[in-house]
Amino acid sequence: MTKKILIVDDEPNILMSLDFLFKKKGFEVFVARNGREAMQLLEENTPNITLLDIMMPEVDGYEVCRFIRQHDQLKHMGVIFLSAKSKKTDMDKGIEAGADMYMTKPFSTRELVENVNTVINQSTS
Amino acid sequence: MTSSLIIVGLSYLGLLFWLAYRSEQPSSNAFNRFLNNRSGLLYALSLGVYCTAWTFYGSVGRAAESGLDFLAIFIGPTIMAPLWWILVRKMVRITKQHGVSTLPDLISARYGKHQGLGRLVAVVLLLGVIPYISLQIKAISESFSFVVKSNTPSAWYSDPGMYITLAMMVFVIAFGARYVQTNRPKKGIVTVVAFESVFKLATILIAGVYVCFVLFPSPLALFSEAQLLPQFSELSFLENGSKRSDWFWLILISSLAVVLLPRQFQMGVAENQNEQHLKKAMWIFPLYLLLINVFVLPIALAGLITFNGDQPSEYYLLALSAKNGAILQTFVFLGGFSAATAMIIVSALALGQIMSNNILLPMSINTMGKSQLEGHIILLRRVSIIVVLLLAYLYYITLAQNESLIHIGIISFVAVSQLAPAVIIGLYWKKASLNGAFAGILTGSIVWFITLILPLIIEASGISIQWWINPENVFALEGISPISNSIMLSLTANLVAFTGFSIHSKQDVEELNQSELFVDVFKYSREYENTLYASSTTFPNIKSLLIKFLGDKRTEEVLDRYARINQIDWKTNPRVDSRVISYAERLLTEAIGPASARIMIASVVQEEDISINEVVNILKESQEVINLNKRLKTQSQELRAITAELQNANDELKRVSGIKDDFLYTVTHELRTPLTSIRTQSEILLDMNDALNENERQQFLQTIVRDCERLTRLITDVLDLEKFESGNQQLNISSIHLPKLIGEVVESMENMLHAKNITFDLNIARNIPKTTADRDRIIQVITNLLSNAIKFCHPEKGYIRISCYTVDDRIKMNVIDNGNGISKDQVDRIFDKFYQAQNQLFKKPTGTGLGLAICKNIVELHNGNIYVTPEKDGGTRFSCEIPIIKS
Repeated sequence: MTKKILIVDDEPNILMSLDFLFKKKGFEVFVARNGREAMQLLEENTPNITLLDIMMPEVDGYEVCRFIRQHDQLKHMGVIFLSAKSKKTDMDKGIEAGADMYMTKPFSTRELVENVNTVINQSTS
Repeated sequence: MTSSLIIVGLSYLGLLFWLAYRSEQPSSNAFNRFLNNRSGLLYALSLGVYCTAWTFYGSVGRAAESGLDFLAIFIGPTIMAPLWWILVRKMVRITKQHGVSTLPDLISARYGKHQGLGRLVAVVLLLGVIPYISLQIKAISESFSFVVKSNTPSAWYSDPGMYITLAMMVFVIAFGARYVQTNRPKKGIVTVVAFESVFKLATILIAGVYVCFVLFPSPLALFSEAQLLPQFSELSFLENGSKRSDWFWLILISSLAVVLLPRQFQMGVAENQNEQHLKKAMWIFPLYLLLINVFVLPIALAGLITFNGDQPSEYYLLALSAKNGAILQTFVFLGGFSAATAMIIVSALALGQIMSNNILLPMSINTMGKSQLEGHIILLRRVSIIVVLLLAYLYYITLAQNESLIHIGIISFVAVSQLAPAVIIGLYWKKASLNGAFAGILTGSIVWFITLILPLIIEASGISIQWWINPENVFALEGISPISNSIMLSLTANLVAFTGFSIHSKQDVEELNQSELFVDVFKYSREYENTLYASSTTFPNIKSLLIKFLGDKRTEEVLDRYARINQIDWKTNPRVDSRVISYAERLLTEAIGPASARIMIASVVQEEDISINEVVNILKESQEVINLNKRLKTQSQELRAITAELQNANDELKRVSGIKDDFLYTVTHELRTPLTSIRTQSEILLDMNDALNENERQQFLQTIVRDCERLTRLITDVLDLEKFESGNQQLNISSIHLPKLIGEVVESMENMLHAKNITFDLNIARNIPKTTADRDRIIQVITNLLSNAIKFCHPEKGYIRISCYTVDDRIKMNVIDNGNGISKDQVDRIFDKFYQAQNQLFKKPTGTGLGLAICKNIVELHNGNIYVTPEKDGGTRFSCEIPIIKS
């Protein structure tokens, strides 16, 4: 069964390349350019994992993460933060919000793919 | 008439005694409270002791004989009064600091506490002022005889002069010589003198009003009648040459005498309890003089008209008031009586102190036993008062009969003026020396004696001498009256001797010390004054010396107080240092004057040799301590201020560094974004090369290049902004024409406008002047605003307008688009760094988020301003104004 992945980022180029990457890796990919869009797609499609940027206008990544963890259908899914925010406090805040992993931009795509698979396996097992 | 007048006179004297007694009571009844609340006014009024019987009777006599002459001695003090704040305040400060209370004490203290000098000054004052007291006795006696209409008192026992002298002795001894300290406030005497000032003024005003408005229909009528008198044309109204020089000299000596006469010094300096009272006295006293003189001329003229030589002109006031009846005349008599008694009281008090401190005490102090001297000192002072009044009385019955009031008064003024150089110059010139003071006073006084006193003695003795030995003529200059001549000669000789000897003589240690302390009295505070003696003694020595002069009780009191304040335990620390010695000397000075005090202190103190340099150093040191204290005080205040400033600066630094951190963080964040894009795409290209088709590969490569460009722009902008914000950005100023620059920018961006199919309007006003600015930077601003407008205008029906015109002395440029407009929040923050980058719903990958921040910096560096306003029909207007600066 194909895994579903939601990628949320306000940076079009990153969105475009990650979309390409995960499609090639065999994922069903959804992309959202802000938090609001993301929440909508989450409820419609219940993906297996979400890659979340933090700094986005209006609804930020933390909030989306909290939304996921409080949502009955979504709360067990994997969440990985992908953020340019590199401070320890930012990371702690991300884990606190309920993320499985926090990766700092720029990241290695290989590592990202590995982490995505790990998190999916954890959350489904 | 005789007996009733005696009763009235005695009642008046009784009133004086009662008043003095009441005001000295320590109780705080309503009467004393009334007086205490008006101490400044009392002080000012007590200076009215200047107006004696000479003023009361003599002025009218003088006016009747020679017109306005009488005014000179009142004009002098009036002219001088504004200077009191400088001169008299300094004297007051010195007398309070050094515990002196008479002029000879002040002078001898100034010139090294020299006993001989004090004695000389005392002799000059006694010689000069005792005849003046006699005149007051004479005035009382004559006015009494005038009222009771007996020509001359037939026998000594029927002469009121003697009884008055006796009454005054009792009064002065009772209220002026009660305590051993001479500087203790004499409230009773001050109150009585102030009262008498008011009383004599009241009588002369009432009598004057009677003469001018009752006896004659009006002052005008009086004057027009007076013009018909044969003598009228002879009355001087300043037209006569020698009279004019008289005016000058009289004004001069009276302006000196009003401060230096013993009675004036007593009231004005010694009895001053508050320097601020001087300010009041400086206007009340001249006003008082004006009031008391207002009716003098009318009374004199009225006397001339009415009596035509039948009555002595000095007693016109009495004669005229008699026309109203006995009551007014008695009232006027009491006015003259009050003027005379006030003068006698204060003069006898002052001269008594002068005589005892400077003449009797030094003679007897070494022969006296070692026991209690307090009572002895008071006794000496009482004896002196009696001697002074007795001498005055003797002078009155022997020499004074022939002299007019005014003449003796002026002789007295001239004598007192001889002290002026030594006192006044000595207070401001440190080089003024003991020898100078001696020489000046001695020379001046000798000239005074030869030119003014000797002629009187010769005249009185009835010896006829050749005109060329007559001292009045020896030094006489032609066309100048003997009085002016004497004033001029004596003061000139005095000044020349004073300055000459001062310049050519060397001051000793004590003199140097005192001149320093006197001239710079306002610089030396109480604590450090006099800390001069490099000497010491034991506490019992000092104590027994003080007990000798001050008595057990007071000595105990003052030493206890001193020990308490300075936290000294005499029992454990019996050696006393120089400060205690100085303090003891000051206490003694209050009792026996500075010269005697110095001698007494020297008798118990082992003095060490002290050089002039040491003296100067000690003085400098104490001065430095004062300065240091002041500096410390200001420094601690400054420190407090600086601490507060530092706190603020620290907060500001924290804030700025916070901003800096935020900025750096934001910058790295902004750098990470394109880097992420580049890395991701590069890795895809690397890892999945096989899975990519040519199209996809191209797209990735293009994106990578664009992201690299974006990174470069970002770095450039960050560095640019950093330059502006750190103030390192220099403008490259040249003459520019803004419309031309706008044209250039529009031309370069025409392609983009076309590409988005935007309608573009350009409204440039005519005659926009050239200005000076940084050409490239202004182009940067225009480019930024225009490219923003292109980015944000309506995506399909885009419209942009640029307008440019002048407002006052500024050029204004607007860039208007028809995009989504701008919210209130955005208006406030759109020029913030990275604002756009963080808050755009959908990012435009070309922006760095720093463009508008840089624009704002550029425009502000040109002293212009840039702001944004929403357009009414949606859309946004960016406005930018820069001042017109002609090259």
